[in-house]
Amino acid sequence: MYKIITHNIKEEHYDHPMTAEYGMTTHANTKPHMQHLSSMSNEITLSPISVEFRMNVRSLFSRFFWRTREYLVSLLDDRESSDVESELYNNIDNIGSFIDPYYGTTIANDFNNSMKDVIKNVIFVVRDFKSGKELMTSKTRLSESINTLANFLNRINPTQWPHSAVVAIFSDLTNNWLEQISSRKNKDWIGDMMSVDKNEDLMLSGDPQTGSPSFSEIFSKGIIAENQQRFI
Amino acid sequence: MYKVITHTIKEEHFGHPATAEVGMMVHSNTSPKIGQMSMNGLYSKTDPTNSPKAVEFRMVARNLLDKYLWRLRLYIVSALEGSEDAALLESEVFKAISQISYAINEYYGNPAAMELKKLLDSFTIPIMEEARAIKAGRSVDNFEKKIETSIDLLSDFLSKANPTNWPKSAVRSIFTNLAKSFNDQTKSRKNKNWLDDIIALNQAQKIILVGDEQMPPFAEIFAKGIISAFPQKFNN
Repeated sequence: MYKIITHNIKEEHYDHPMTAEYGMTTHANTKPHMQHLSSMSNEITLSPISVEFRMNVRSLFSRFFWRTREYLVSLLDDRESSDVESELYNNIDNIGSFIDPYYGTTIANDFNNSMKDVIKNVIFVVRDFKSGKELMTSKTRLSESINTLANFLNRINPTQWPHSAVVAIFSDLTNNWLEQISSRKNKDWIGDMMSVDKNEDLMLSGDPQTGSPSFSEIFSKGIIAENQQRFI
Repeated sequence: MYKVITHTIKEEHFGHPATAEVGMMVHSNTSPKIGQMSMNGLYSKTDPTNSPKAVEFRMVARNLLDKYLWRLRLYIVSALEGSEDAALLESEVFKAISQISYAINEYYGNPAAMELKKLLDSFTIPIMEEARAIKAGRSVDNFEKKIETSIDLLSDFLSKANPTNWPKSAVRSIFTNLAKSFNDQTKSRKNKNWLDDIIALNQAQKIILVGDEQMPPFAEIFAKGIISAFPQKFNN
């Protein structure tokens, strides 16, 4: 019982050093091309239909982001709930169904497949990590799948989803997931949560210190910018 | 013993770190300002909930409530698994509550923000205790009563603060359903019923973030309620 109390006291230390450290990390990680993307906001993104679209996309990415986290932790801890894998892929399909009306079913399916490939490769890395295998091969495959996703997004929306930005975002995202797994394996719970925070900024909140937008905003505003007449 | 100490620590956490962090989130200007745009009526100048600042605030509210929902979810999962990170996650839940409460500080003042934090804590603590009780196989009747009381106080507080936009019956219904969805997650996971666990989690997300045809998500009710009560603060 008293140990738990000690944990809580340790948590008091959590805020201050972490805040400073985290602030430095996010500044260091800010990509110039991501800052360029933050300027893509315009009045069309504030029409009622656009705002609703942006919020819906954000909810979809929230589900995807958190389910992936839950799934990876389940995998690491051998929890029986690891059968939520199908739910994770459903979440990706749901994101794809949002782009269907704008880019068509073939592209939506290609998007789903590219996203699923990235997640499958993250899972391979975690499985290899768990079983103590070398990670070079699975990490290379993961990088390739990110590159494929970035090429795909860049092809359908080169202005709003430039290849380099998508690669940077998904590399950071997947690295943070792997960092969470590594931290948890070492029972470094604070490191785990720091990495969760970083991914929340990356995918959902944006970085309040640098103004870098979240990927959910880049994604939804990219669609809005390309299909403006449908958001009036 | 455990409860009392946890409570004390979370109170210490409220003020400074959350203040700085949320203040930055609320005031960061990543959206364009009205004056910088060529207006052509794409969004209504008379609808304060769609001004750039209001949309930003709505997004921030959504982020804060999402953090709360998921940290509480992570805590429940960890508590039921007996995982060592449960203590840290518990503090993360209270930190998320501090951030939500701080979001109203600028509009309703610090005493109201502190009161909201206290009430959200009172709503959340029995949910967490319930997870620990279910894990330990203890009775949960006592906690359900505590949750009910906390919902009553919370809905009373919010409806007094903003009777038009946060009516008591609606707030009570939202938090009753939210508590039920967390309770369902706890029980489903305890019984290894993963499908029901996901259904209950989806329900919590629907209540807080997604909404349905009958009820908008609480994130929107919360944010738009503040914007409607203080439209002049969201004009630019």
